[in-house]
Amino acid sequence: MLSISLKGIWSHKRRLLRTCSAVLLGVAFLAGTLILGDTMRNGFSEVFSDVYSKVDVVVQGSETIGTTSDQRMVVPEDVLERIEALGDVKVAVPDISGMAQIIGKDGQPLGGQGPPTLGGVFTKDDPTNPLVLSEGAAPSGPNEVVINRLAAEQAKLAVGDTFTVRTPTPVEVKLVGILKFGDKDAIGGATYVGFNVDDARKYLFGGAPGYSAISLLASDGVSPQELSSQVKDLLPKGIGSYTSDEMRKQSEEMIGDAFLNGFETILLVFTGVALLVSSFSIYNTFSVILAQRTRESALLRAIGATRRQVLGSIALEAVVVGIVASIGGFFAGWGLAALLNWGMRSVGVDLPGGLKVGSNSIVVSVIVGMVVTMLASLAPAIRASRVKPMEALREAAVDHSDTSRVRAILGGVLALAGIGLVLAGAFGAGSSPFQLAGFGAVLMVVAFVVLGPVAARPAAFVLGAPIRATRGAAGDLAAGNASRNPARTAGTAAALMIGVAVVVLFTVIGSSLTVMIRDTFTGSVRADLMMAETSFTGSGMSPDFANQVEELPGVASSVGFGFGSVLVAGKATDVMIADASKVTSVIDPEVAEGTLDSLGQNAIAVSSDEAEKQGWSLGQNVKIGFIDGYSTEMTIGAIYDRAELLGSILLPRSVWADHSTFDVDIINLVTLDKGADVDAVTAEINRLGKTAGAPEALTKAEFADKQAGQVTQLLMIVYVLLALSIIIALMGIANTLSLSIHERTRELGLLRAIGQTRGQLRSMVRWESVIIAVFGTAGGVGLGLFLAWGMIRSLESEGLSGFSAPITQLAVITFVGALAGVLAAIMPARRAARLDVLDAIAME
Amino acid sequence: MTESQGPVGSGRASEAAGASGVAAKAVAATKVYGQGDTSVTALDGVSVEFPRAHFTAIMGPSGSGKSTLMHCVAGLDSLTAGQVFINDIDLGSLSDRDLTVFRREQVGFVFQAFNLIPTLNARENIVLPMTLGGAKVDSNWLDVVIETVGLGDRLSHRPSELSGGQQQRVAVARALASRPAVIFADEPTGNLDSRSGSEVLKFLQSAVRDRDQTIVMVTHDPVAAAHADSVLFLADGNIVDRMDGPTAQSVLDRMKSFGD
Repeated sequence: MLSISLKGIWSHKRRLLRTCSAVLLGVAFLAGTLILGDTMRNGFSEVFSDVYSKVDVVVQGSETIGTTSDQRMVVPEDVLERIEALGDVKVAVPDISGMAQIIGKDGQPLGGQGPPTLGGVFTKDDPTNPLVLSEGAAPSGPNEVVINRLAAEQAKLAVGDTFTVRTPTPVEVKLVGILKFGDKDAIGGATYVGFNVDDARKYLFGGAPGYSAISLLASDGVSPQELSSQVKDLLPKGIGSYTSDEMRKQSEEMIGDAFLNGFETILLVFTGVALLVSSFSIYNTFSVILAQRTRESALLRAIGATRRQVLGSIALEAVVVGIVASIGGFFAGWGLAALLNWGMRSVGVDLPGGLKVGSNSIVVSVIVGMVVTMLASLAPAIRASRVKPMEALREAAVDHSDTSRVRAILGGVLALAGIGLVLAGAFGAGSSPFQLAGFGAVLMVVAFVVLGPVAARPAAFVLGAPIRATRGAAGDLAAGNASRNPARTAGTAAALMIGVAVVVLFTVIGSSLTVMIRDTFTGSVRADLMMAETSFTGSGMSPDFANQVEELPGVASSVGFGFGSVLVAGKATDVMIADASKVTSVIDPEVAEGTLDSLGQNAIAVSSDEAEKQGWSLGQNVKIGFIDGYSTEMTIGAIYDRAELLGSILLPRSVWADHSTFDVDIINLVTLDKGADVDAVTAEINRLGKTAGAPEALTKAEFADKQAGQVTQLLMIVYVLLALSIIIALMGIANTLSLSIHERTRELGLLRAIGQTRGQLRSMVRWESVIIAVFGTAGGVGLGLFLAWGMIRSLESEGLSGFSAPITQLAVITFVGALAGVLAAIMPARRAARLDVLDAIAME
Repeated sequence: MTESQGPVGSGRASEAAGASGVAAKAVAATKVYGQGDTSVTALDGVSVEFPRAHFTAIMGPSGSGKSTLMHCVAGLDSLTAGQVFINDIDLGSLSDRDLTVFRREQVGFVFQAFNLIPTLNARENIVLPMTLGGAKVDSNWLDVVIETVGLGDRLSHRPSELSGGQQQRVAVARALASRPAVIFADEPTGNLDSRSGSEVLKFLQSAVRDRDQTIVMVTHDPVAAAHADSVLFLADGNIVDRMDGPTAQSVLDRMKSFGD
């Protein structure tokens, strides 16, 4: 029996390869993601072990506050004295670090879009610093700095040059030395600016006392663990002591949380979609192949093979497909990861350690590939094993699955349940409407797949009508073929449907976001001009800049907004920082209670949603903690309705500035005098902005366009990731068509014999494919639209609003879906047209 | 029926060549499959004419070349050497597309099985060659044909809802509907019980007698051959004999001499 199965598989090599290709692509995507993740994790891990290679113990704030910026409690100065008094400490080097962005000679800030822009203290003979001078000298006088070689190259700076560093206050500095990191020019693409201690305190810490960290070396014979536990006893609450191993682990976890895990999760979600789509292709291919082999299976049963043996032989085929595809996919994924890694290297993210292929990624890829293949082939295999020996004696076996009542009822129930849940989520039922809607979405996808065969025949009739009317006999035949086997048509279309539904979901969410952004800027912004930082690693404008802009002629008001993190009632929370008294001159947050204009020193403003969530009311006191350890009760002085710009909590700048080391503006909003010449004032602001490295001033409309453009860019990335699923779905259609054509060889021969031209035959196959593709696309568009609506509605309480279906894009998606049908039909149609009439007729 | 109207064997083709009474003919038709040592000569310089409004049966043992002859004359297969004419048109001179269109308009087919497109109903199957050609259906003629088929209310049924005999009658009707120069029937009764088979054969016969249709039928069955006006006997790629006004018994006797 085994040899019969193997011979069968070998004799259908091409078919096997085509079946494999769907799994292969999905697995390649998965393996690529895993390998890239391993590689980056490993690269960062090497970077961190180099960073902490020369230090035994680090003392720093034990917890980071907030999620947007990585801020720690400041180490008080007396801690250093106490540590230095310890006998087991050989060296204790304090560091004062912060953000320092180098402005190139062209006025463009360096970096900020990826690797961090770091600033710190650099001394010549610091035994704990992994960065070493390779050229020039250490900074000694005021405003002297050293930078790493990669930064120097990117900014085209040489020793002796003067340039600007944003700390965020722009500082004019002189480059006195260039650093290397071991034999590398940068630490994983980061830029570094080293100051002397006084400058670092002045610029990076705003003159505040304390240190960001203290690096220690243990005396000979003392282990880092021993030293660390000794130091721990000396530390106040909120400050910790960590060995270099612990630091490395912490750093790895942080980069994992902040970046790698999210990056991997997103890729894995799209991998999941691709694998789901490929499982449909496999299911369909196996269904068709096995239907065609009904007589063969029946013959085997007739001459004495047991049902188990028939099932086993099919399972074996699935295993072979799974193994070949998984292994092939793994290697393809390896290549993909190598390509991406090379691409990242060429844009400056230079991680040490080369491509890392963890055994994990091999095992996971192969297992997932196998499981997907086996599951997808299970149902067709069981169906095939149920064939009765009598079938062997019957006329040509064709897959005659029909639509059953059970299917219609089950699908209907699932669909109703799904719709109900999505609606419940949309109208905000329960505590987590989004999860409700999400679960409903999953149910609806399942329901659509189950109902597919029921809908396929009427759908083919409706979709086929225009084709029948315009394409004559070829159209008639195409429509007939599309509806002759509803299960097959539906299964083929399902793969495309899922892909299209996800595309539509993202398109609609993207378009709704765009609309929301525009609404925000046209609705609640009073300012005429806005300047916004695009980087996301914490660099920004100096708060002074907003004041300087306000002094320009023609400017009525200029208000800077920054982000910060504080402990609100003990919980780290992101807050907006601004001069509250001026906020309403640039935006209208629709203050419902209290007043922003006279909020005062010791009060905060909160959004009405946040107030409701926390049970706060006007005049209530809330405990706010700052990173310097200061903690105070602040009164809720205003409650506002529109949270799009202000977020959930607004903290007065004066309070923040006194208790933080890092005070920058991310957005600056400017209201002009009535009748001011917008262009002239904009030019003036930009001239000032250039010296400070501030972003360009844009009008409301320009700014909204730019923001919308970013959404579009994100959508593009999503489309690229989803393209894979669509390709797999196309291959599925092509595969099923090929197999159907094989099955109908005699019929095609007859058509050719009685006078169908090759062109007509191709047209027939093409239109059948178009009907299937449009069926899938239409289902996908409908499903995607409904789910997007439900999800957006369910997120209304989170600040998302305004469902907007972009008609043009949806029309394009539908057209592309139909076009996909045409593309998928090219090869099968060509093969069908090449059929020799006589062979086709003679074939049994 | 006179001798000159009957089919003529090899060597005598020149006498009738070009005559308007000939619907189809082969001239020195040779068909060789394969090459070198493994080559098989299926037709060995066969010349034959099929007169208009005549029902010709082709018989012969398996491998005699009878199907090959039919396929070549019908334009489904190409010759290695020689020529084939239908209505005085040399099929070898036509491109694939022209040949297809020619077949659509001038040739009708009835196969042993799988004659109908399962997704189309009986009426759609009958008019298929015309719809493929985009030609307007001559409804008077169609009515006549449909009436002769005698399917009545079953015309809107799909092939799977018809009996084997009914399916073959639909196939014959399809072949008749476009009024082709020749209808080629390849074992049209091979899959039918004797009663249904006889129905189909009578139907073919009446098409020749009443409608002046030319029919060429390949068959194994002496009873089927007896419905024809004349029978050609093939062996080893040559026409070896011919019989006018055959009966089942006379054909059977002749076949026995081939040792088939």
